[in-house]
Amino acid sequence: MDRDLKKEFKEIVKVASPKERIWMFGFLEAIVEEGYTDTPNPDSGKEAPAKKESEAASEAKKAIIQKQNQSSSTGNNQTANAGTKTDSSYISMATLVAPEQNKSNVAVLQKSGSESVKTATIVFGTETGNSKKLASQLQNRLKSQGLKVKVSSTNQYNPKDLDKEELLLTIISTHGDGDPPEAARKFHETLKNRKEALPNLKYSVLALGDTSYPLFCKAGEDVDVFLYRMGATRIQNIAMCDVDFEETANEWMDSVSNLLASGLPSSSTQGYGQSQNSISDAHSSNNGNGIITESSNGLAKSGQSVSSNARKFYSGTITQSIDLTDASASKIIRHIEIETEEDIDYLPGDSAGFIPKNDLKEVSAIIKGLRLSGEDSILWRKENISIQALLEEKASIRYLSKRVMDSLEAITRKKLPNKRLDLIDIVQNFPPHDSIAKETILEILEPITPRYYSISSSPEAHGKNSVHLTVAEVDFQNAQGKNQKGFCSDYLFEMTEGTAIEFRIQKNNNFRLPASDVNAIYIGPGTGIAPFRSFLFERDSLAHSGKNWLFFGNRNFSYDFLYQTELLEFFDSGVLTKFNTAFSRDNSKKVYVQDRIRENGKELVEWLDNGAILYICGSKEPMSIDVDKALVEIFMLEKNLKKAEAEIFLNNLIETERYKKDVY
Amino acid sequence: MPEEIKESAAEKAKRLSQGLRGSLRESLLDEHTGSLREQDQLLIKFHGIYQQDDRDRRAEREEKKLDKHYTFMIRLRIPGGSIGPVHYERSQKIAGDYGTGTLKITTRQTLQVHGIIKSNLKPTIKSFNEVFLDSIAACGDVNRNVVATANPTNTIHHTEINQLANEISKQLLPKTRAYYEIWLDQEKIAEKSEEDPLYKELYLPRKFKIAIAVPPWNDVDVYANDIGLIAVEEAGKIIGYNVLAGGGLGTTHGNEKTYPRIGSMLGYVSKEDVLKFVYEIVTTQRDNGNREDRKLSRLKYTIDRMGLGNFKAEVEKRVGKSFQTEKNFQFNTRSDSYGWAQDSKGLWHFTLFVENGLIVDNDTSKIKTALMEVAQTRRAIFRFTCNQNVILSDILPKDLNLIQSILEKYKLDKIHETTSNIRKNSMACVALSTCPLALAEGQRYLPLFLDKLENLMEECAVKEEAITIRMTGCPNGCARPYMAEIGLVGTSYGHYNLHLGADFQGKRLNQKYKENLDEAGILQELKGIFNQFKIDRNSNESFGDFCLRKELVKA
Repeated sequence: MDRDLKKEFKEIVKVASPKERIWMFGFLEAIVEEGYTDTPNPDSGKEAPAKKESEAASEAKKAIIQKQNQSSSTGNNQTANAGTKTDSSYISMATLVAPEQNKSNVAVLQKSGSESVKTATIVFGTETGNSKKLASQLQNRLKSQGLKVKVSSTNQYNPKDLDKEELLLTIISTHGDGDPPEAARKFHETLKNRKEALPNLKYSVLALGDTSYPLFCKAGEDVDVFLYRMGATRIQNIAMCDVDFEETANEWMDSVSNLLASGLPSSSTQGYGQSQNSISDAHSSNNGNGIITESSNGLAKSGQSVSSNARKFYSGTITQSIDLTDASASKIIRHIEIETEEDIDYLPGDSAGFIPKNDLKEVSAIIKGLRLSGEDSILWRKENISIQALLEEKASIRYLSKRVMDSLEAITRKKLPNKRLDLIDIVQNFPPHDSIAKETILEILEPITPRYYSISSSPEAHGKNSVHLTVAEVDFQNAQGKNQKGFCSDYLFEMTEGTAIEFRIQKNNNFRLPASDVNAIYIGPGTGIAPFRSFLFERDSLAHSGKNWLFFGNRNFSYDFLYQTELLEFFDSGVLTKFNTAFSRDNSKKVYVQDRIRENGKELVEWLDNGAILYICGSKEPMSIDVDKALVEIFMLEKNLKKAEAEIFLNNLIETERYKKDVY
Repeated sequence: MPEEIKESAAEKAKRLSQGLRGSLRESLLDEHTGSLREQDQLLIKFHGIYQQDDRDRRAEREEKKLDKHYTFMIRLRIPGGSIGPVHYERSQKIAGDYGTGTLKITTRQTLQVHGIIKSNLKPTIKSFNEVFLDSIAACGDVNRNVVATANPTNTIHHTEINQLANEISKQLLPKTRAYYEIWLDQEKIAEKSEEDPLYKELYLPRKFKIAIAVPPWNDVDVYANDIGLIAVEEAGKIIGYNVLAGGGLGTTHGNEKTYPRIGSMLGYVSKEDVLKFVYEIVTTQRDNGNREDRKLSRLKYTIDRMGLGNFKAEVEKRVGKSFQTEKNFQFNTRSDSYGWAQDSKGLWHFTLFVENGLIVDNDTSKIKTALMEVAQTRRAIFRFTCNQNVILSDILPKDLNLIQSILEKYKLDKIHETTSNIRKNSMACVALSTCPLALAEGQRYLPLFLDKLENLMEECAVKEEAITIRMTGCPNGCARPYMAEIGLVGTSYGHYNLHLGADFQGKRLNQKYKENLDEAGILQELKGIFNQFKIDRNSNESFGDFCLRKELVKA
């Protein structure tokens, strides 16, 4: 390499305006923080190393959490124009000296003039429909600016098109343990494994996630990294949104929109921020982190966006908790009703999320085993909290993740089994040496992640101050072979009527009622019945003319036919047009919902051909797999298709949102 | 202006049923409910099946948003009450696989299985069919199970009347192939529904019961049946039958138009003619019975409305022959003779006491296990009695010890010796928790009540008395409470009407003595009467006769 980078860099800095300098600092910081190399990892296809949340993500997270702490203390979720100073995004100069720089990016910088982009593709990877909604909004904005904009879902997008793209804007959410949504899995994988460069591509990523989870916005970050590695040009840093995504998302969209309006990336363009929430802070003037954006006008717009309340915890009381199963049932399933003072913002198809508390006995045993005191304070995730409170309410102590297990192994300097143990197992069987500060063990614990349950009540029928849940008891054997109950289900089961409880709503825009005159087919065995109970009550209240066909299954007709009397009433009154059931343990021959699907193949296909929407809710494996197999079979039979063709037909139903899934 | 004939709902259902098919097939396919469609609930009775639900669980299930726990009871058709060991073993297996596990011996010598869920009905019937057992016409507006005196020691007569029972049953069986089509998936043979010259379209107005008794045993309660045939013997052979008609016990509380009635003597017929007379009594009822009000549909009301003389004349006209003067006969008892007995052919028979006909294992006796073992030896026939007991029959002398050893093993060989006489003469209907008509408890409660009554009888020093006592949960009278010396007829939960004054042999009805008594009240009343009885009875006078003589009730 004969280029004298330092010299070149200094030249650029000399001619750059203050704003441009600020932009450069931010840009370089991003490269450094994200630790990217400029060549794709040849081992990417193999067993993935333990996922680690990037520092960028954790910084972003911390900033978001801190902001929330501040705004909750000021009683205002939005800090737009608040002028609050925060140094959460302060970037020290020292970190700006990058060991490696992406040369093509620098080259772009040098070449930049008013480069205008004429076409763009927005790709969205959504689980609950939020990414899709945002993609649509963005499309409208960019179109009104005169761009030709295509929108595509990640599972419809043809990766070959990447080579032809001018600008790729990716909006993608993260689920579970840092994973992309099901519909984006292939897209994510393709980008990961792709070896060919994309030197002509410009891009930016908007990531949606939940700070409750350890790997906040990982999927979005991955996409950002993958594209970067392929040599594409990042025109805007990744924006990471918590569940209250509107504000941050709007800021990112504003930035992108403004960038494209005034040409990319020119000296007169706006700056960027690493953690996007800091942009809102930059309404005020320089606030130390040196990030100013001229998109304050755009921000004013975003300031008008309504908080989605996704972070909001409702306070409720358990007003009913009954065992829906009769005496001899082999598995208890409870119907739980929670009432609130305030109105709950939810629709049929949404879920309610709970953060269970840990078992007090277990917590005591851990504290005792570590020879600590519950009253002592500990700094955990920038928060001072008593050890008792931490272990009781905040930290996950069961089925510890691999990350935590690895950290524990390092801390305790003991070889731990390659299993996900409970903390109590570690404390009792692999106790750390006395020389090790026990607090360190607690510090690395991750937060309790919320558990979600499909809501089985309908706002129209049951009112806005009520949510109903359908919760099954869960029994399993943990890694040590000990019998355990499901964490959240046990927590809910223990609650008696009159107990207070908090919950939040997770919206699922991908699992909504059809239009009032559209027919619907529901496949909901076991607790999968929950959203369909909601649907039926809602459709009944709203007097939808669309017909309903329900497939329900469970173990014994006489003992666990959930909500039987309500469903029979719907059937008698005509709300339920067709009602098929399958009970697997009644006869020597096991019958499941997929068997009923096969028996009714002709009519089912007729309904679909006449525009019915198909829904499935319940266990992912094996149920939804078996159901899909049965659907393929009936398509083959009724439409005279080969297996591959029938599978394509099924996928097409999914892609065109005629087959909606809520499986877990 | 032609008189408008009111058609009751039941008559309409029968008429539209297309030979008792109704929408049974569709009802069976309804996956969302364990119940049959309404009209099919009536029709399925003709197939020997009742729809029931567990009344004990109704309230709790409703809270759980669960529908009633619908199950079905199937009653077999066993004319004369005899089945082989293979049949018995299969029946017990079916009860275990598809039912509650318990076989119940009924008051009409057959077997019942409770607790079958709808989706298991077909497998149940198919399984019975494999051993040639069916449930056709065990319920419904048809001729029910034909019963015959079970005492097997009178072998020659026993064989003959068993044969007669089977012939009558066959002759009066519905011709519809619905049973075979619906349950056994047999092909429809003809497009049009088959002709049934006897039952035509509407079957009978109500149930019809036929019993054959061989004096001196009246174990079948011959007077309580629509047709009672009393075998007449001459020179060691049966030559013919005295014919009773119009017996029937069901009443409705508070409906004065309903009453229990014992059969009226029509006269004697030769054994060659008996089938024809039976047939025409049935056709006369078919054509003259009240089809508007089901509470007044039984043959007894038809006879009383027409007048006995007219009824008899009509039957004679149809047969083309007259009844002859009845011949003499005498009944001594209605009880079974417990323990071992040998018949004239040298075969052995063991009559086992089964309280309320429930074949179960409990702490004191393991009847279920024992009978299964006996069945598996294949060395005995199973004869059920109208007292809900079982006789292990036709045991070869060389197999006597084998059967005895099984009985001994399960402490059943002497159970009748340790059981009180009153208990051995007791009977209760099923009542709760499955009978929808029950107002009070029946079989679940009588054994407990008898514990108290036995103590009372001991106190009053009448412990050994053989008194017939019968309890029913409602006034329908399925366990023949109106012919018991002590009759307890349920009125509301925990309360019964107390009836007294029937005779021991079963020729006389009892009368209502006091109403709406609870347990303490009943015991109180009986205490007083027992004390009187001890002091005042004539020698060998039965308790029932005593009550009548003392005018506790009027005849």
